[in-house]
Amino acid sequence: MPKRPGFEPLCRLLLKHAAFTVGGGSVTMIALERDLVEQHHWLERDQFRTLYGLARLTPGTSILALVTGIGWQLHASTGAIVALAVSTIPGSVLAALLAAAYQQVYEQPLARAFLSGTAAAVCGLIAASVWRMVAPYWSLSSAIVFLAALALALAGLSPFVAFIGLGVLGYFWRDRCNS
Amino acid sequence: MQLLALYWVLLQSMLTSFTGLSSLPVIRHELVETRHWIDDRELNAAVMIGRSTPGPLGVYVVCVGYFVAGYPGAAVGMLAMATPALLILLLLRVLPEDPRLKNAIRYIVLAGSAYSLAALAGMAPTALTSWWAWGIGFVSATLLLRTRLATGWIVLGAGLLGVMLK
Repeated sequence: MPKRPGFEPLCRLLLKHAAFTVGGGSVTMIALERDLVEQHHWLERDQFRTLYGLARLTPGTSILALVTGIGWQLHASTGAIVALAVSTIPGSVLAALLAAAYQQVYEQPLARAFLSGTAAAVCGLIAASVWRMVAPYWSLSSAIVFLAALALALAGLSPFVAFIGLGVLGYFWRDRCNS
Repeated sequence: MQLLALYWVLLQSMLTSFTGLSSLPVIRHELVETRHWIDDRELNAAVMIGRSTPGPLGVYVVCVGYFVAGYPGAAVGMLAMATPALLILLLLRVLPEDPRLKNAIRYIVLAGSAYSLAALAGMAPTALTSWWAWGIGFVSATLLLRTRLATGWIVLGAGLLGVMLK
C-alpha cells in the first residue's frame, strides 16, 4: 500500500521535476516516475502509468495533466489544484520575465545577431517536432488525413475548426489500421 | 475585453493540442494573421523562450500573452496553459480505454502536424534568410531528433553561432 505524502514534500518534488526540469515531457515523466514510485513509494507503478496514459489523452500540456492527476490521486481535488499551481507558476513567471527582457534588448545589434541564430534554430525545432508527431502514426490512412489537413491549412481554414472536425471524423470513422 | 479574447484564443490552441508545438497553428492563425496582435518575430521569440525555460514546453503561450498585453497577458497565458490539465480529472472518471477516442486524437495530432508545417512555411521566410540560417535550422532539427541534448542548449548554441557569423 503506497504511503501518502504531506503537501510540503509533494510540492518540493513537483517544483524540482515538473517546474524546473529542462528537456521536455519525456525527461520529466521519467524523473517523476523514479521519485514517486521507486524512491518514495507514494504511487504504485500501475497507478503512475495509468495517469501517464490519461495525461497523453488530455489536451494541452501533458505534463501539467500528469501532475494534476498525481495531486488528485494523493490529496483529491485540493491536491490536484496545488500540484497544478506549483508546476505552472514558477516556469510561467520566469518565461514572462524573459519575454520582458527580450523586448528591452531585441533592437541592439548583438541581441539581433543572437536572435537571428535562435530564430533559425526554432524553425529547425518546429520541423523536427512535426516529424516526431507524425512518425509514430505513419500509414496510408494517416498520410491521407495529414495531406487533407495540410490542404485545409493552405486554404486558410481555421485550425480550431479543422481539428474539431477531424477529431469528430476520427471518433466515428475507424479506419482499417485501428479497427 | 482583449484579455478575455486572448484567453479564448490561447485556450482554443491548448484544447486542440496533444503534443509538442501543435498549439502553434491556432495561435499564429488568430494572433498573427487574423488579429495582428503580434508578428512572426514575436511568435518566434516566444517559442525560443519557451524552449529555453525550464518546465513545461507549453510555457511559450505565457510569452505570447506577454507580447500581446504585458504581464496581465502573461497571467492569461498561464491560465490558458493550465486550464486543460483539469480535464484529466474527467478522464479519470469516464474512459481510460476508449479506442474511438484514441483514433480521434490520432486524427487531431496528424492535423496539428500538418498545420504546424503550414505555420512553419509562413515563419521561415523571416527566419531563414541566409545559407547559415538554413544550416543552423538543419543542425538544430538533427540534434533534436538524434540526440538527448536539451533544447535550451540547442537554442543557446544557435544564438552564439548567430553572433559569431554576423
